[in-house]
Amino acid sequence: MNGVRRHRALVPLAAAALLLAACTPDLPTVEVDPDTTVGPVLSVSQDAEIHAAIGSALEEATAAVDPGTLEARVTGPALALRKAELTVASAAGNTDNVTEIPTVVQSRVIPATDDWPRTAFSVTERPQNLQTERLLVTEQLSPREPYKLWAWVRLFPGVTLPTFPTPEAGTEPVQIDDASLSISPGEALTHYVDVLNNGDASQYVGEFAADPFRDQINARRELRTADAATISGTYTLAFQASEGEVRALRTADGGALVVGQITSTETLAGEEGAVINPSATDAAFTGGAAPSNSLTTGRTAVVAVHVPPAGSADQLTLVGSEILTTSASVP
Amino acid sequence: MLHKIVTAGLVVLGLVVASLGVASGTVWRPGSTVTMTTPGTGDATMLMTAPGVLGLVDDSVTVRATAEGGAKVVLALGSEADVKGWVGTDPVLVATGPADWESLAVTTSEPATTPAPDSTPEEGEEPGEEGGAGESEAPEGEVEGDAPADDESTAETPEESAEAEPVVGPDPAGSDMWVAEAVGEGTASLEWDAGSSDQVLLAAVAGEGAGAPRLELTWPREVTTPWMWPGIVLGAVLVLVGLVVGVVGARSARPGSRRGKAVVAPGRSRAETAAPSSTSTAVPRGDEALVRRDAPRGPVGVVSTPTPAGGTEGLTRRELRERAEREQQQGRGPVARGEDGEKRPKRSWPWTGAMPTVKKADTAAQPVVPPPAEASRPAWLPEGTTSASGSSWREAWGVRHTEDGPEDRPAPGGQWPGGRTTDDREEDR
Repeated sequence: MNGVRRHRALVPLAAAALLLAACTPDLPTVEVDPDTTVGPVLSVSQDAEIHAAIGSALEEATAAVDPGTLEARVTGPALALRKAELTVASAAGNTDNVTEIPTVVQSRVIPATDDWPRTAFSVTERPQNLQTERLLVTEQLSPREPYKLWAWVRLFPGVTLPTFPTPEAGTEPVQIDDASLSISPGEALTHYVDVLNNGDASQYVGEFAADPFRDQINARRELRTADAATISGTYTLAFQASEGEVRALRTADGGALVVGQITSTETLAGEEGAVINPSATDAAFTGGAAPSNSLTTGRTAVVAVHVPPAGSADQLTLVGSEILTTSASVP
Repeated sequence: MLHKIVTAGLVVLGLVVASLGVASGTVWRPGSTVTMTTPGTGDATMLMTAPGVLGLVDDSVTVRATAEGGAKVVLALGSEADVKGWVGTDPVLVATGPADWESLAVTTSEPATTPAPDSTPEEGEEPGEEGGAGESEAPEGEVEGDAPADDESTAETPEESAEAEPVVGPDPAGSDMWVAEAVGEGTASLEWDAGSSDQVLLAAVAGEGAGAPRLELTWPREVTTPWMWPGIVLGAVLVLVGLVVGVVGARSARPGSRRGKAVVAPGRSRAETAAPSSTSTAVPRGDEALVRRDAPRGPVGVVSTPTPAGGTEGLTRRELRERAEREQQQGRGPVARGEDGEKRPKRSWPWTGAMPTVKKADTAAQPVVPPPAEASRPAWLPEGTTSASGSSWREAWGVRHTEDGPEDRPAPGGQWPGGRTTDDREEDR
């Protein structure tokens, strides 16, 4: 009888143990998606927020005519250009000269990468003054920095931009010395500078299709040379490619869109006793110094070039440019 | 007794099983949310989750981080490359997975320049020195990379400890890389849909004197109670079985069941009204009063008192007559209680299964059938009787026929057979 009673007592205990054991499931395991392809570094909404932040920084600086708050969101050639514009604006007392940069974007190019620095392109809508659209270049230099506006160019009227992969797919960043193009981005810039300096006499003139910027430069050169002749002086306009200031992203055809900074130095020197009155713009930089017979103006320019892939017979095509005076001096 | 134990045991077992089933579905039911927390200690001011940890139990996760002293807490969600890039060379705790259902396993991860995990405290103070040490070595060299870093750090440690720099936690709030962000004083929380394992979480305590954040992840959980209804059903079945067993056992016991509760003579006569199950034998029993083994408990209870007089109550008249006949033949009185006069039932011949014995004194047990003197005389008439006009009846019943008419006198030991036919009621017995 005792044995039966013991067994009877064990049954509910065993049942309780089984129930408790059933109540404790196994710990979950960490599951990682097997898809290891790198996606775009920014979503469309993130990119839009970045542009909104850049736009507000630009507006704030323009409203205050003070470049002090620009450096949080503007860097590189864009910073130099904007500072120059604000200098002119403060001297002129109005902000008419300030380039309008809309930050509502109609198309984006987002890189897909795990490295820094990261560059993204975007094409804005038409500005309210009905100038052509802007191509913006934003850059994140390091992980702990925000995306800043690195440069902008005004697209040439009627130009067709090359196609890119969608923002959801992301595109590949192209290094300055990339060999998969017909010309590396760095060389493309130096070749173009040579063309700007030498015109048709340049050995690289055949590489580039005709573009309005080159025409503009050539026209200016002719004009100023004629002006120099009237004062029996000289005129030089020389361009230099800025070392390392090149950003490029892969286009859908395997080529790349290259945006680079170019600086120029223009010197108009007349004979002794000649007086060269600086323009209002130049005067803003000379700081009201007395005009002299020589005027040196420094400018910063940004050009955007589409470079075809290696083996293509197409010419390099400029799609946009921007040039602004950034310094002026009289001796 | 065993039957009672079995019944009670089944009922109790059924109740226990049912109650355990109910408990499994209510009291012991796992909570509908799972919350795992990190220890909240460590040398780093930042804590990140490994890929997949956010979606550990469910896609929908609520993240909460707290810091000591009300310091600024930042929660940020971004891709793994972005978070790792932002953390860079700073020490960071990594929540790699579940340690148990209540807590997360956390390891201290050293930055890429020193691949071997090594949580020396001074490395947390000077992130710049790590970068310097990493540049001087190939990134793959583990041992070589550690040695100069340690040398540099130990060389600078005396200076640092002399200065006693407070730890300043870097602030990831506001970075363009984050997909979602939450900032708070002392605590911050956000909800996230962790469908993709690529997004990881960065929790950082920013500012001076920052300690390690304590991270808490909460998921909803689908709770099943697989034992509840089977337990209840099984328990109910056991209870029912126990009750049925109890009822069946009780019923079979009442009418004098076959089991031997008391040792009795197997042969007994029954009242024919004690209907259920018993087999009442019509075999005439012994003349002794038989005590029924059990008082019949059937629905029609006939209480039999174990008295000799009562012993003949339930017999039919035919049985009575046959008994009387037998007793006569056996030379015993019609009412013979037994030698000792006890009321104890006595086996008397013939009982069921008895072997007939031939006794010398009882050679008349089987009456010798004399040749009939007259053809018309039935064989069963005892000799000496000549009349067929009822004299056999008289003979059988002990009524003497005299010249004066039948003298009503009971035969010795007999009973009045019944009604008298004379009007003489002098002897009114």
